[in-house]
Amino acid sequence: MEIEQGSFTLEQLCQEVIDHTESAFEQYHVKHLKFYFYIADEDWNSNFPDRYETQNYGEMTKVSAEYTNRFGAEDRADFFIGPYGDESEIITILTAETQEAIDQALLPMLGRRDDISLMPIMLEDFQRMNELVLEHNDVRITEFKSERVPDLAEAEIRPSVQRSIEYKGRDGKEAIEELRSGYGVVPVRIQYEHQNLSLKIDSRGKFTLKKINSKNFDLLFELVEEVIENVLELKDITQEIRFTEEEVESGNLSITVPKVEAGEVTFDREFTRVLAEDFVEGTRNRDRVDFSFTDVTMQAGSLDFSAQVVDENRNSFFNISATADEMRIVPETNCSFPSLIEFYFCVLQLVDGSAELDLHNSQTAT
Amino acid sequence: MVNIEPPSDLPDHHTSDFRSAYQECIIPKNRDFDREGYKEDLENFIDQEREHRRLINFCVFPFVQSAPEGYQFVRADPLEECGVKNFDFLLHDLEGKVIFGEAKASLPTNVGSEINDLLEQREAVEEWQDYIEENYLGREMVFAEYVLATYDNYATTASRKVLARGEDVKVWGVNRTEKELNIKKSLPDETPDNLPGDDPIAELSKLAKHSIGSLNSALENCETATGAVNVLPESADIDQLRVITRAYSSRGRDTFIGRLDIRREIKAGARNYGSERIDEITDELIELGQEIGLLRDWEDGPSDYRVVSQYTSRKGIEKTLKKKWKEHKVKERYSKMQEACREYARKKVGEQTQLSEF
Repeated sequence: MEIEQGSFTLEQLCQEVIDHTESAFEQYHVKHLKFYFYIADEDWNSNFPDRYETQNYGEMTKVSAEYTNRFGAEDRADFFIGPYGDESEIITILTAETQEAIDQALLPMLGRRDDISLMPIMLEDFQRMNELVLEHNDVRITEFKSERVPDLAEAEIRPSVQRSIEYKGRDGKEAIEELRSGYGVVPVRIQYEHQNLSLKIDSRGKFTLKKINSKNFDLLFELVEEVIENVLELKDITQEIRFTEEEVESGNLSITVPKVEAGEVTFDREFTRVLAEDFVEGTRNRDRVDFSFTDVTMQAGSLDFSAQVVDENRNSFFNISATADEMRIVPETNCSFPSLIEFYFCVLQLVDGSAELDLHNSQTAT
Repeated sequence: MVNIEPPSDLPDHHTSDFRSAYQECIIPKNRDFDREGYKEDLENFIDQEREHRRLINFCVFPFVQSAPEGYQFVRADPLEECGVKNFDFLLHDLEGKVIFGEAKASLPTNVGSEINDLLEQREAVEEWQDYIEENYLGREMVFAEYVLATYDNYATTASRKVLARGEDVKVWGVNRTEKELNIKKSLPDETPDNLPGDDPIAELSKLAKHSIGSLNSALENCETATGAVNVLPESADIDQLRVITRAYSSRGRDTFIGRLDIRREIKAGARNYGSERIDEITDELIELGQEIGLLRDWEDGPSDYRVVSQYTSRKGIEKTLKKKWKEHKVKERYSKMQEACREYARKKVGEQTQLSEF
């Protein structure tokens, strides 16, 4: 993307794109602006210069990296990265690059950092976003992807089957409802079309603007505002889930004692052995998320499930033990909040869309 | 034909006698050796060990999370370095009150010998009290309590047996499905005769409970979890080897690990152990890893050792570890048989020698 160097906030940069659309998108075939939202630690940007060529654009930074394009030639991809408004813990990345450039140059690197996590949008929040867009008259849904989430939708047809449906057609709005009642699927990605509006939202924190005008941008930010509170709360919780070692004085000795602040996922539906098995299988190499389960106990009969979980992208370790109602998460020394956020997102998608994450409140606390 | 080298001091003319005696011994032994059955036993052993580790973790978790009455987890396998039969975990309130805990993932109906073991361990603690105070507590031991922890299905029986013998041992029961820890106070049907005091039942109830009242209430329906501590030093060799499945790295098809990675993991599993002991454990573990064929020296490689596996994933390496360990155990068992047959053959040839001398 070509934007003359200057000092920009995210908002100002978006305005610049609107004001100079032609020059900003000059080198691209289509004028699609992609926004990726991430949750991050405060000093997330300190490491960017290590891997990328960077240019200062005020609050925003332009980062560039090499990648191999579809013709096998070396090419350069540009991204603009900066905080989302006053929220220094939310990062926004803007780019007009192709998906292959993003997949090569941006996402793998972000997916391995232990101070940055994708911004998952809870499916209920996602539904709210959808309703918000539909409040604009005559908005059409032209494309969507829906997945089976049992506790969010009843299914008339083979309710126990896990499924994912992608749909294209002018009647998306109706089709979403039809597929929801028939197959029990709820949307995780939706594309909207209107006279001045063309927008795609994705529950994994990705937004695409296909028409560059202020109305479209306003709508996008309005949607983000809708979910940001929950996202920040999630970050706070996952950051508290920690394993530490404390040096304590014991008489004339100094000894190390382990201290754990555990997390707990509370299920809204019964967590069964079948769900546990699907979950273990489903979290491997899934949309850039890769969790391994080792030392797994899964007894026959009633559920007795525990395992050590490794986030292979970040080499981050934690342990889980689950009952039919809850899953306790016990972190290890090298457990980072992005791993927990992505893990929780997997729970939401694969087990229970209404599962809630909180700190484990110990009954033994005195 | 079984190929076996006779002992070097055996006269040459006895070689064929020795060979045939050996053969006569090893062939039926080999035929009767149920390798698959043995592997199944080993698989069960792996499961039992995992349950044991889990049980220790279930017991320790509340103390790692919130330190009820100040009790904290300070060490797994106390007295391990002294070569003394000992408990699985030590909790300390940092003021001299301690709890020694023994975890038994399964118990026979007659818990007698397990209780005896526990009493022996308790004696060892008393014998080594000075050492424990100096090296683990840093102060005088005010009082010690002893815990037998087990899964719920054994806990009631265990508690009754302990109390029927009038022993001052607390029983903790862990419910695996509910992930809950409870202090068991099941009174026996018969009261022991030798109990002091006028009210034996009251005495028994006292024995069943911890002397700090609020600790008892903390251990009622206490939610728990696994994974708070790695208990390494005294666990079975297969469990120790799991360190490799945790700490290895991979690049492309290569999987590898350095001595320092292994040491780091061991240090985390042997908290409050001296660095010399940690080095020792590290060396033993590497040697074991090489012996079973999971580790191979990697000269000029990016790291000290190659992790030998056709898989690169963690699950795959875990699978390889189990497989190699089981194969190693089978080989070990077979070498023992070979050894026994060698001795048999030797003796047999010796007998003949003596006969011919007459």
